[in-house]
Amino acid sequence: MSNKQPQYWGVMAEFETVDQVLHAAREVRKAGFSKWDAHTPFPVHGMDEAMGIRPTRLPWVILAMGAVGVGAAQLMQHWMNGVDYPFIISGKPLVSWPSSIPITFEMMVLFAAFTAFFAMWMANDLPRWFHPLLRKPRFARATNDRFFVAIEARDPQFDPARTSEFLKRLHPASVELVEMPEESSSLPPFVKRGIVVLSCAALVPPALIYNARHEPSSRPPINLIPDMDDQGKFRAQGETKVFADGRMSRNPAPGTVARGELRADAAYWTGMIGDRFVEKVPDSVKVTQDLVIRGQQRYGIYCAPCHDYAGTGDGTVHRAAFALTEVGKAAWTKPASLHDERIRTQVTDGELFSVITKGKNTMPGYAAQISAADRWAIVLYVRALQLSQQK
Amino acid sequence: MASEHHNILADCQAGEVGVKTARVGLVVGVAGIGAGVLLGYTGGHELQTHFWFAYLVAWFWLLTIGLGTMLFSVLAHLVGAHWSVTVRRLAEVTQSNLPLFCLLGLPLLYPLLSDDVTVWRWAHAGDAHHEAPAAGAADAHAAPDAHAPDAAAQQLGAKLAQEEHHHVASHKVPYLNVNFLLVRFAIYGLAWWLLSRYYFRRSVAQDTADDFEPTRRMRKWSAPTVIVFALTISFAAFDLLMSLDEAWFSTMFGVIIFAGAFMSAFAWLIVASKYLQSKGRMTQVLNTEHYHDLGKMMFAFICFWAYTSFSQFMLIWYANLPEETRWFQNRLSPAWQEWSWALMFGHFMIPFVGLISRHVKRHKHALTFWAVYMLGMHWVDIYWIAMPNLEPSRTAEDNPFHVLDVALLVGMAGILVWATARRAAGQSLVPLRDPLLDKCLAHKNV
Repeated sequence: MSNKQPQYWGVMAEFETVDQVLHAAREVRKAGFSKWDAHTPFPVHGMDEAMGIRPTRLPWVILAMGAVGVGAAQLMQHWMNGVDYPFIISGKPLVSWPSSIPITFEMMVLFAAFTAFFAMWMANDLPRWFHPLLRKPRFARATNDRFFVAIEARDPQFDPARTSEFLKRLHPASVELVEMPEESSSLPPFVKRGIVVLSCAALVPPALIYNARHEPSSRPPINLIPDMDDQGKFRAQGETKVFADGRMSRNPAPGTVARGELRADAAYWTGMIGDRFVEKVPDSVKVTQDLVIRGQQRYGIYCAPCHDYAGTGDGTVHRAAFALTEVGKAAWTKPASLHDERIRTQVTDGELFSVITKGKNTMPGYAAQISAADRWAIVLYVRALQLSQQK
Repeated sequence: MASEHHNILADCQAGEVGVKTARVGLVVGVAGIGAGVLLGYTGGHELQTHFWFAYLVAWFWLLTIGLGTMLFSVLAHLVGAHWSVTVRRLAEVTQSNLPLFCLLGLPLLYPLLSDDVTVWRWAHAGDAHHEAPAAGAADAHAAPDAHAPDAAAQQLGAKLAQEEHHHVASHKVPYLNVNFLLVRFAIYGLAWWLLSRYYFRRSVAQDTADDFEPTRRMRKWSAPTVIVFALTISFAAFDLLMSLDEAWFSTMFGVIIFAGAFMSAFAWLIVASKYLQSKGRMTQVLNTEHYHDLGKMMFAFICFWAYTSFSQFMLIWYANLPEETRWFQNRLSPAWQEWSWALMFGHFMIPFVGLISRHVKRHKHALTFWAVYMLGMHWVDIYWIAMPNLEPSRTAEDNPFHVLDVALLVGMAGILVWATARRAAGQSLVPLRDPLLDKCLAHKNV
């Protein structure tokens, strides 16, 4: 059935000054209209009172969601750190409140901000394709220098003729009836469909990742951004056709020594002569007080964590690991005390050096971290430390 | 029209109210400080040291309010704020007393320079800290004879702390020595004296000026002034409070003190405004909107204080370095943990919940309650920073709180009221010819 009578969205009145629009707003309110609004180029002070707008409830919603963010952040972190993946960091308790505060703060802000943003959209009927008022050329000036009051046809008191008459009495610059547009002002179907399709498409990568994490595969990984993964260079253990033996790694040419690699002084570099440890620090090490202090410093950095500053083997690493053994979470052997009778009297300087270099039992070798000169300095300091304990 | 103008002028004169209030403030101030001195000096030597700590706390509370109001006066010019014009003069009369507040700090030179009382331990340490750290090092690292792992760990921890303490403190000697400290005090005092005077005089001159020259000049100097303010308040906080524990250091410390100072400045302005309005002054120039804004700023700096304080705590807690952690360890000891919790809840969480609503900030009585409460919490904050350094309390089970602490706080509050009211009685309570006054009167929070 076609309706010849035009369908109205409402009626709008245009005003030239703030005072006029405020007056009009008060009158419209007094007349008992409920579905109406004012449109101004800038926030007009006193408009809320003139229109009788109740304070928005949005802050309560935001407060509640901020609290939800706090709760969610706490639960998330407790579950992650305390249940799903317990892992001791910096010796702190698994679930410790100070470390959870920054995340909690961020989640509170995130939840509150998103809520404010999207709840404001919903409260304003957004998103929508267009507003019927925007079909009126005059209304464009609502963003520039004119003030509008618009009463909607939804209002029970609305009548095209009488409401227009009423508005005309409020000294407007113009009054216009606003027709209901032919097409719907809600989002067009293709936009809605697009949003649905994109939302579904957004689930594909997580689904693939989930699948990949739970299914073993023999195929090489998918490499979206190869960057420098494949480079035309030789790697240790790599294969090549360039050399007859097919190996990328090459031996040095026979009879050559790389710079800085000539280690003719075996006593200095290994602490051994032949297959015997040297008794004393080799002559090539010049023993000075500075060197002992250097040794003390290096000892403090590399040795004290396990062996303790005093050499007793009670270092912080030992204490932490020992605490774990007591609750059955680790197996641990106490580091040797450097004041041990055997180490003091039977272990030679050369053997001490060799132990620092190559490690012993659970102690790793420190050749990579500590230079040979510093290792000898530590040997000297350990001797000084042992002497200090002799009554 | 003329009579209306006259009414506004009368509305903006403290006059009799100022004089009377000043009198009450002076009586309370003298009585409070007098009671503090009496209590402190009749209770044995230990209580004398306590007295000087309490005096430092109460005086620093007063000083930070003066500094906070100074920043408020200057910042208004720097950012061109119009909402704050009608309360700016209250801030200006408060901060115009900074020279007086500085003079009230002079008694603290006694514990600094005399050996009778020890407040700043480093100032009395003499050559103890000059020991070269390397000299006795080998001996110092000798094995502890303890066998139980716990006892050994504790002993070692204490020993390390002790060594660290000497080691770190000895590095600070070039900065932390009495002579240089006196030079710095002179610099802070001079800077605050000049700035408070400049901003007070110029603003009063604007009241009778025919052009906006005084305001123009205040604006011109506002940016450098803020830099001077930031540096002086930070270093004054380092020198006066942080150095009470000479081994401890925190780069966040100055910011925390600033946050507390600025927060209490807003609290003080709320209290002063409400008081004047209850006495029938400033009724036409201050309305809900101005209270709302002051409340928002106070709320903001309560949060900022919590943010900076927690940042300081979390980094120290995480890194767990002996010379840093010790400071918090003292404050989480049995004698002090209640104060620490009281600070966390009382200085942040409770007022956060209490002040988050717009309705509370627009309710003059409720807002005034929170402002008074926050002025008290600001004192608790400083007390909590300074007092645990008092020797016996570092190890004692009981908190050293004594009624003289409150007497001194009340005394300093009396001085604050007296000094402010005395100045306020002398001129208009509002910068009458400020170019932004009209905007301020019409100001509205949307």
